[in-house]
Amino acid sequence: MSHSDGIELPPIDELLHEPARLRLLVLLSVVKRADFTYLLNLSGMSKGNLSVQINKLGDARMVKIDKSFQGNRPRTMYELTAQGRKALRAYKKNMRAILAALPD
Amino acid sequence: MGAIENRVYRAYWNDGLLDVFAAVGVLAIGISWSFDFIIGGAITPALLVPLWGPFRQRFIEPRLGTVEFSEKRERTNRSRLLLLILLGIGAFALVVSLYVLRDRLALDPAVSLIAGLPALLLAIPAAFTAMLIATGRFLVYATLLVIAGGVGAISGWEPGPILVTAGIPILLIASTVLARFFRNNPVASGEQE
Repeated sequence: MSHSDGIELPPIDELLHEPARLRLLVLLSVVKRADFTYLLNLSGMSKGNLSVQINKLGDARMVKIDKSFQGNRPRTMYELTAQGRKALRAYKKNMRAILAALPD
Repeated sequence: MGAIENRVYRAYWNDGLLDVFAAVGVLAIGISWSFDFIIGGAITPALLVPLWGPFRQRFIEPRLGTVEFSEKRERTNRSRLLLLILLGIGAFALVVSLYVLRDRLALDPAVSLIAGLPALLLAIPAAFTAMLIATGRFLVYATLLVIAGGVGAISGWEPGPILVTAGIPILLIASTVLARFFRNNPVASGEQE
């Protein structure tokens, strides 16, 4: 069977198709922006995991990372970019299409 | 606004600081009125409102973090907050008027129940706050104010002791919520990146 005979499924963005990153994108999609501590509390993730996953999203330009200082404490704010919002919408649409094609 | 946004928003208010401020407000008004220091009812909110922001920044944000909500949420909040402030001012003005005029109004035996009105009127902004910040605790506080107002008025208490009676359980609940928040949310030791 050639590759062209394979069943075509909507593409799934592998960057988003990971529970921790998806959770972060969903959280950021419902607020304007949030800092590291807030995401840590709301996501229930460990510091290390949050740091790794949010930086991956930042590298992919899905999340804007804004580092500053509040007094003498470093503070990093995270904001979903237009690209991230678009990717999240596409992921939702494609996942819905795949799940809708599943038999009950 | 969606279910996730509502949950995120509710979590923002789960620290108990606003609860403590509300309890301190009710108690302070009650205590000042118990000593016939009527103006205390006006001074208390004027002192507490500007303190809330710095207190939140100093004690809550290092533990919970910082978030900015969407424009839509901010717009909704601004209009609800304005309504709450107007309600609060209206309720307060009515309470003070009734308190000042209580002797003249007491010509009618039925108006002895007026002593319970301050607590009943403060229950309105409490209930409205429950809607504003999407938390049921403030409905409990509103209920406590209504009960204290009703029972106190029937028992012939003055408005001050009635508010103190309502304020004590509110402060106990609020302190428990705040203590639980502090226990569950130690100050973040820094960002690991």
